[in-house]
Amino acid sequence: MRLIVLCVLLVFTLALAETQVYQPGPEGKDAEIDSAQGGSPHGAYPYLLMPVGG
Amino acid sequence: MQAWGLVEFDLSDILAEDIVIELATLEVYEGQVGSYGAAVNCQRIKTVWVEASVIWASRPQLGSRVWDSVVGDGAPGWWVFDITEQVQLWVDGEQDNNGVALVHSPGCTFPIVYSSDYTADPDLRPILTIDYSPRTEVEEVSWGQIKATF
Repeated sequence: MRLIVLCVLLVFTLALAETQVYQPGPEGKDAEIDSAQGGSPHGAYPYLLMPVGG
Repeated sequence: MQAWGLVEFDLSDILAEDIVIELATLEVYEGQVGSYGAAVNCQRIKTVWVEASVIWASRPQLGSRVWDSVVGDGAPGWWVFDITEQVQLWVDGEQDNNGVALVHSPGCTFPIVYSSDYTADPDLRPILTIDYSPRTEVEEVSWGQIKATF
């Protein structure tokens, strides 16, 4: 009986498995920073990596 | 020169949920290739940072553990970082979600990796995919107990 309960529980758990995908647009939070950077932030920059200093 | 890419996703819809993270992958698109063989490490950001004002001089602190690492293969394409354990720590409330940093090896020619502000092709913006399931308490049962039941 317990084995059946465990199997049912397992199937139930698998059925409840979900996938969440996050791909924000410009409202997303990311920024590039680099050691040649001055005081200019690169938060609204289209690149996550590509140091330009500045 | 050193460079970091900082990225943080709003996970408020799953934080503090009683769930098990089966797999969490961060994908970023390398549109222009940098040095072949250069490594990019994915590490936790430990301290709060502000997108509009963060610069190198005010860079946040990073965790020492490298969750995953990608080595440039000389071709444009997606880089995939497995951050399953990190996301579980955020969901369980053991660490604050300040995002992760992509830390590029110093001294290399840099690749171009697109951010969420990349407008030419929105499909190439960073993606975080999380597979999860409810946490289930399973009672431990010995074979003797199972046999006795039947």
